Amino acid sequence: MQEVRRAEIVDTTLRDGEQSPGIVFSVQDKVKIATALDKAGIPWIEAGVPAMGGDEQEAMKMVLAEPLKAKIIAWNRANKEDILASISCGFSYLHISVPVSDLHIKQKLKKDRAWVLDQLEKSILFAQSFGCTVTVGAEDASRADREYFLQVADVAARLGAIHIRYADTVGCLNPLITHAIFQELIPRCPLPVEVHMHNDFGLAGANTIVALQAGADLASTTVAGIGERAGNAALEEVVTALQVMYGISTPIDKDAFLGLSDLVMQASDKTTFPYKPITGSAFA
Amino acid sequence: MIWIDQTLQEGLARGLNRGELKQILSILQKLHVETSDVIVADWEQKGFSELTRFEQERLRGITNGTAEEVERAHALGFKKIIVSCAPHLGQGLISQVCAALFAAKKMGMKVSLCIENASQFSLEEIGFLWRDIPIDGIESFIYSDRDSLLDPLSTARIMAFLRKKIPVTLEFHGHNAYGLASANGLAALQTGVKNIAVAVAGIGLHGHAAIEELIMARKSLLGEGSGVNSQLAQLCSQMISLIGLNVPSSKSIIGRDIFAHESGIHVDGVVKNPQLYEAFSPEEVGLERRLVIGKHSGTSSIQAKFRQWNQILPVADAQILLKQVRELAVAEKKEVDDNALWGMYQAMISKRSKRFSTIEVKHQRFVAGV
Repeated sequence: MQEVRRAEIVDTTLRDGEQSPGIVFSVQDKVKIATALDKAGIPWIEAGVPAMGGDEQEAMKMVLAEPLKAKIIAWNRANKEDILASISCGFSYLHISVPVSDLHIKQKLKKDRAWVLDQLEKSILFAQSFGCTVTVGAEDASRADREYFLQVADVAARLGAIHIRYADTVGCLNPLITHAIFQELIPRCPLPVEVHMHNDFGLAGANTIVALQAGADLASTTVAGIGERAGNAALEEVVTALQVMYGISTPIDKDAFLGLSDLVMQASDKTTFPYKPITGSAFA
Repeated sequence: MIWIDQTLQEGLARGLNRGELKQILSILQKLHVETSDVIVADWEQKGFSELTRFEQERLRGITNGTAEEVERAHALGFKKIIVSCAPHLGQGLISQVCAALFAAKKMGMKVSLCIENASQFSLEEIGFLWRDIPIDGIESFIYSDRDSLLDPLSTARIMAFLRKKIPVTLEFHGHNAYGLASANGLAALQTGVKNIAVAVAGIGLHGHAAIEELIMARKSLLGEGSGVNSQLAQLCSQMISLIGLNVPSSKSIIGRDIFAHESGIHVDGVVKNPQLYEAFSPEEVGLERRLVIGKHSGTSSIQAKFRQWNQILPVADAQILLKQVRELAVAEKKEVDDNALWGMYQAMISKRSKRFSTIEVKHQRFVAGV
């Protein structure tokens, strides 16, 4: 018998979703989508990347000005410039992302593991000096050394970050392996884990739910699964599957899915594939 | 390893003519898919005549578990059929289904038994159902998750158990109400099930596992089977357009935009090493990598774009263009195409050269003492 528990959704339609090539949300789109997500009961909304400047910062200020119950998060790299951009928009929840696989650390940043830990520590302290609450992101965690992921989690926990994101950046996990990894990882991780899966092999939703089943507490999703390349785990599929498969509940209003999907598809200038689960017309 | 195609049935249901169905069968052949399931009643209802030899080899007729329909399938020329049924909990196979199995056997057809609502039963109950089967020589037992009740963990557990208990070929036929069909198909594959129901892009009633996802997951994630057709994306798109649909641009494995990189961080990474942000290379499936310039671009993306055009763009110029790119992308709510970007660059250059020439003219005047 599974113990009945709740999982929290961190929706990133406005950040990772919008990073999908060709999708551009206007300031009004962002405000409308954030409001609809909030109304549907999403507790965490990752709203964007203030470091991009210009219109993005305008949109962020507008979203923050809305009377929303959800906590609104800004996405940052682990550097002062990104964090200052977020602070100046008025954010109080900051997500700070660092790569954790050697592939990313060495080839993208041309640095080493110690440098990343140091940079993360400085960034968390810097963000906290403005009174912000920090969540930490571990990019490419699925291709990283598990012990190093835990080291990053330890640093984050010691400094007072509130949860850590495990990102399957290129979508290379499969559900049976994901379940095994999280069964081992969760008891050893000092922070609640958020899973952030990508859909390169069509497995994002399945990987998300089995990770939650194995004890992860939060899941990243996007409406209709939009996002870079083949996208992210779809909000509507994850929430429904969690309920059906494991009886894990979320306080999210399932009746809102169709409206959310229409809103996001319209703002993205895309149409829903008729065979898309939950919201596709062929399934109605 | 046998993929059992469900694409053809959806084409039949959506009113494709026989020529179009034949094209689908031919494309499937290129993907080494030799068996397609079609509902016999649908085939008959479309008024299609007897099966050709090509069709006989490839089609397996789904019957509703009555002797009458088995006979109709036989009359149409089906050599392989499925006796499909959805038993009630607590009851065994009803006599009608047993009669259908007998009839099929008597007519010399290859018979598969499908329990449509198998995932509603416990493993013990499935064992009882199996013992009810009145004949020997059944080709395969099809375990169907009609109501999408399974997650990959239960699929793996159930398939591992049934593979030991059931002495004929085990097939897994999953559905996709909650987006888990491909994951369940992959889990069945991982536990040694050889026959998996699939459809292009996961189409079909209640959805199926997507063939392109399983083909690539098997190769890249399980390290089995290198025989991926390097035209996979094109072949799947052809089938989807025969059915009257378009492949969504972000559809995993086969979508046109899955190798289009836009965000500054991703482009910067992909330029350094594509593996940083790609799980497999575009060539493996017959797609192309594309650098998209838009709202999320960074200066290094714009510089990378110009390098593709054999043009060295100084970072200061990239910053000027980036500002204009973002403004245009936001105003038009879409990416900035190559022509528009080149236009911005030309405008920037010509504005600059005009300014230079004005300065030059003034200088000459000064020298000339005018």
